Amino acid sequence: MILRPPRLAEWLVRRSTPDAERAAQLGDLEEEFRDRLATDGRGARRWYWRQTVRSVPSNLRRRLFPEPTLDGKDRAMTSIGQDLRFALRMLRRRPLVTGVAVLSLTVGIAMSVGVFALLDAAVLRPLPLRDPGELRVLLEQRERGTNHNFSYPGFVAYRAVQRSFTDLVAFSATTSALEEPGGSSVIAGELVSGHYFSELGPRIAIGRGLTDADMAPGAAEVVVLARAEWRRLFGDPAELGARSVRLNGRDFAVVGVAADPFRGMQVGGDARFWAPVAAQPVLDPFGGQSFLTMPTVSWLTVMGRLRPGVDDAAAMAELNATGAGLTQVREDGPAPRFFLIPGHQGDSGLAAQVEEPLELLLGASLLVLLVACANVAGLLLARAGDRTREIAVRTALGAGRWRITRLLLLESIVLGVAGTAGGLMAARWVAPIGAASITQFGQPVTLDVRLSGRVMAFATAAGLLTALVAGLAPVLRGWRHQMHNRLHDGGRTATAGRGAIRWQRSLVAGQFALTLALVVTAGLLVRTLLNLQSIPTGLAVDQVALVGVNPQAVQYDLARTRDYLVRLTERVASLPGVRAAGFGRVIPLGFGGARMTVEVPGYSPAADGDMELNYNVVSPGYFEALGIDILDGRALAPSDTGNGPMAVVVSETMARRYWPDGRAVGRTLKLPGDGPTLDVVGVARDVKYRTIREDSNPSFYLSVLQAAVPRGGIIHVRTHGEPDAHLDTLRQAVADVDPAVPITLLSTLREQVRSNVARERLTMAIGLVLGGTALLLAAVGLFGAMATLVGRRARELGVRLALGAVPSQLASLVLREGLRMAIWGGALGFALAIWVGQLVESRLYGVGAFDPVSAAVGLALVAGVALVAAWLPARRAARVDPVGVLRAE
Amino acid sequence: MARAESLGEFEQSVLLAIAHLGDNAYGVTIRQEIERRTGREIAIGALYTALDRLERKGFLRSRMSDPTPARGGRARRHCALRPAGVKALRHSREFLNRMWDGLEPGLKRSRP
Repeated sequence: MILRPPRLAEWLVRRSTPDAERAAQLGDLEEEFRDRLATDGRGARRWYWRQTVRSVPSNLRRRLFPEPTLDGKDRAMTSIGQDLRFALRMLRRRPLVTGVAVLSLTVGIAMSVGVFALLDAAVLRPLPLRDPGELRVLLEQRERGTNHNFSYPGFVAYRAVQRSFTDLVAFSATTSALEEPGGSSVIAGELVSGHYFSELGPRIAIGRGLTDADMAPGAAEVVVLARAEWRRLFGDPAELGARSVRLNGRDFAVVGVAADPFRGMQVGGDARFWAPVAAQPVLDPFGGQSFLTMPTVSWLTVMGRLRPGVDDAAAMAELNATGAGLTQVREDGPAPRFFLIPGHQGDSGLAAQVEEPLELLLGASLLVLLVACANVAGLLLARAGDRTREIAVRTALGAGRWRITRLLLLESIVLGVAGTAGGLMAARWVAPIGAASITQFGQPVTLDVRLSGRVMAFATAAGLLTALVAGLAPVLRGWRHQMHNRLHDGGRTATAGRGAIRWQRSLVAGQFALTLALVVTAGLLVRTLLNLQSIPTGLAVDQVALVGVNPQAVQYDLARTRDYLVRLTERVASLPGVRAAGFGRVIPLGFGGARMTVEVPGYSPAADGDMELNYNVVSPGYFEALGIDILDGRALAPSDTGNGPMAVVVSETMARRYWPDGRAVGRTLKLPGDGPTLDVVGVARDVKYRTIREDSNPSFYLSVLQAAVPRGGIIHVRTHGEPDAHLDTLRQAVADVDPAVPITLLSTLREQVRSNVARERLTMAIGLVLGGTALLLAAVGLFGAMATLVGRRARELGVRLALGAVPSQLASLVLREGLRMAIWGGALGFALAIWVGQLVESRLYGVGAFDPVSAAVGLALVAGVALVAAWLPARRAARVDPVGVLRAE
Repeated sequence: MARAESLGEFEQSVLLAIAHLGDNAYGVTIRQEIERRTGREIAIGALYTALDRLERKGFLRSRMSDPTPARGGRARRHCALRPAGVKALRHSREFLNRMWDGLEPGLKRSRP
């Protein structure tokens, strides 16, 4: 029995049926054929044939002569479809022009979108919390306008009485030593209050969040891990199991895993664990103290979710009224004033740090996009010049102004769509590079840079707007020139397209103006960075390796810590290749530091005088290790121990300020209240303490043998030769003394200085890339314009040649034309550069808004690029064949 | 627009068959439905010609289903009425009703 439809009939149907229906018709026939086959095999075959014979004529007719559409709306869509097809065909026919236009747009959009994606990730996007817009951070404002967080007793008291928020939560960032088989590593985490997870609403992937029960004294020590850490440590099992992590020498049971991408309450943060605040003495040890009972230590960020119907003003009023009755939570001072700030980004300071530079860079990248836009406009104009005749024919045949406009705009929209797609693809690659160079206080941040909906919307808007603006130039020109008049001169006479050329010249001049402004500004940023890096720090920057250690993380008390630091420093100093080693509590140029209020007998500060000064706790070898000169008296000595009087070395600036008429050595300082008296034993040369840009501040040094070092510190190692070469040996030395003590830092002072100017470096690097890109795009624009010009003027050049001009004269004629555009643009660019310079003046260092060196270098660069871009078309002009051109007449 | 909305007899049959079939309207079932009700055998090519025209007029829409082995691995073209199709059917019926209005039943019976 034959199970298949008759082959010949099937073939006939296949060949005669319109493509779109072939599968459906053959399928229908086969389906019914099989049904019939079950009852009557021969009848089925006959039926199939009968169907075929009767269907072929109508099918074939429709296949050969497709019916036109009937609906009015359909007709409009089809003609747009036709225009679109035509636009695509026109673009395909000039692959070079199209390619250059799309590439220009791609580059321009990639830059803008890349910068915008950084802005989105760091500034615009809220943390992955529930309804982040409802969250607020509570801050307390004290005397002198400084803002403070909350103490734990303060937080508890407010949480109990406040009515404006659904609840209050508190948290504090910390770092702890995680013991792993390979040794200790330091990971970031947060100490949080009981309602942190339920109130803020980060998603829990496995297990549970923390609750009030976990906060109770004597509760089991528990943590929630970030998914990434869970994956790294345990390979991402779906069940919690009985797993624990060893943090700061204690076991914490894992009770939950927070879903990606949550990494704590800081944008760019990398919190890997969350533990109850009650674990502070273990996980955030401060000389064995528990902050939980101390009303004077403001270590907690407090956030709340506003109740429905409560606005900020009402909440603040309520807090301040309640706060007046709760002064007992602080020991001293007047009743605190509270205020609220938006909490959608938690307590991160990243936005405040990078918003302004990123917005500046976004502005610069939009200028680059404008240069790209001018490129596309120039190319489209040149094309429109070539198409004058075609458009005249269309107009003559009855195409309206709208129809022609649509045709021209469709082309630029196609370019815009292609450029946007390309730009988005390139941005996926550009943005992470930018993100990797963003740092906060010298530490890299973990930014979740992705093409979010906002970024896509920005890209689409930027791309389409650019395309429309670029497409507008030929359209406007077309309107103005009454295209139907163009039919008779056929686009061949010397005057044809003069308008296009004028437009194009303006575009190129504008491009050079923007480019010069960008390049000169990039020059300002480069000089700023160079100036910053050459500021004397007072430190032996190139010869020092840094090893951070925190013995208290593994529960050392102060006596053991001192002993440990002395032993480690001695051991490091005895290593081959090491000239000197010294301990310091505060890392130089680390943005942070320690401050202490002192009294200077015989000196009465002004009313607003600040006697809270920078200080450091150091070992005797510190000054030698960092190359800090002792100008008077002596450095701290091993003999300055707990038994003797407390010794202090003061900085140059401090000595000058408090003892202006005489030696500082031999004087005394006093700590407030019944604090001890300190003997000044020496004066050290000023060094930069927090940042390279800071002015010299008074500061002083105490001995590690006499003062507290609550969180470990840094061993500074001055080496012979490159300090980097010693890092491995230093790591080994720390492990040799006690493998349990975590290394908190392993770096060099040179690296520290670099990261201190990382923000300036980032701005400079992106600025340079943008300037270079603009330069390249402008060069392409000039080249395109010149090439069009030469093509347009081929006839004139041919006539000149025929009349006896020398080819080199033609070349210089064209070259002069190109340079004229560049010079016009340059003049405009200077004005623009001065204006942009003033915008960025606050970010500059050691160079003014107008810097002759940057200007000269920028001009030379731009002029050089213009020369090259104009040179190639000029050479082509010199090779014009006069006979060929004239014969074409 | 009245002209665009008037339907031929065969077109009406196709649209009505689709209305009867609901979700199960595709080439085979539409063809069989018309055949079952009228006793006339319909050529598949004629059916698709009508479907094509009706779809262009906006009276129905079609979508391709997943291929099935019973059809030699080919997809079905499922059809469904659009509001304009329903309106056109009503319009045609009303048009004929008005023309019939007032004629004796005898004429109806005596029509060839």
